[in-house]
Amino acid sequence: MKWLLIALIVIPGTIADVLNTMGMKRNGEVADFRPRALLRLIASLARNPYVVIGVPAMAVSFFALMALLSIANLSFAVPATAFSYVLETALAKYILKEGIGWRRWAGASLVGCGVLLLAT
Amino acid sequence: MKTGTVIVLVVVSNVLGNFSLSRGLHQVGRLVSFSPWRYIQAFLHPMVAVGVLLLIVWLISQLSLLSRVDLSYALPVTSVSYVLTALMGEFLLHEQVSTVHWIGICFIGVGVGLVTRTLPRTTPITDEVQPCCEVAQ
Repeated sequence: MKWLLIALIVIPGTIADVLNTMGMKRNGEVADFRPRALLRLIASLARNPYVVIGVPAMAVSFFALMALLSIANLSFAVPATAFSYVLETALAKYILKEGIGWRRWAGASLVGCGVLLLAT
Repeated sequence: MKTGTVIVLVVVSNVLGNFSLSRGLHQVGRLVSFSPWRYIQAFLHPMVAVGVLLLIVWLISQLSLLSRVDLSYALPVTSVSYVLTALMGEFLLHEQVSTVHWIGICFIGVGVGLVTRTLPRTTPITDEVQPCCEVAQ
């Protein structure tokens, strides 16, 4: 059960981040945070296919995390999340075509290690 | 709103949201169930409700952040939330922050420092921008 939940956290979570980034980049930069503008933003995101799949995938990942935290410690849940920093940096490079130099790689790896250490 | 402000909003709503959610869920109890009713019951708990509201704020600010910067920039930079979560937990429980945790915090600090020294956005801005988001600043 625990490992099923870990898979349900990592896989949909990773897919969600990639899809949401694609969707939000296509939607354009969000600059206005007044309530009316946010409602318009939500309305336009509801018609954005990337975000329409990405946000539910994020919800699956989130509910799986909720369920896991109710039966296991944070130190069991976090290592998988730590690994996803490196995984998502690789996906950002190859799928999202982001320019990732040594600073981003080193930064993502250090952050992943740091998150692991914090979970011990 | 500046990108830095959005990052702060993402981190703060994430930390406080997760905190109230986990506090609330501990009071609700075991939650591995395929029946939606158990989840609805959990949502009715005040701490859980506050946590969910904060996580909605987190979702909107996270999406806004992703509309402006690279995923590979946003992820490491917002990991400061792990540091705040760890420090908050340990201070609230009046525990000393262990050496291993301090080392972890240093790793994250250096990692975030490295990433912030890169260009936040390396992908081109597409021309399919919808009118809603083109507000002049």
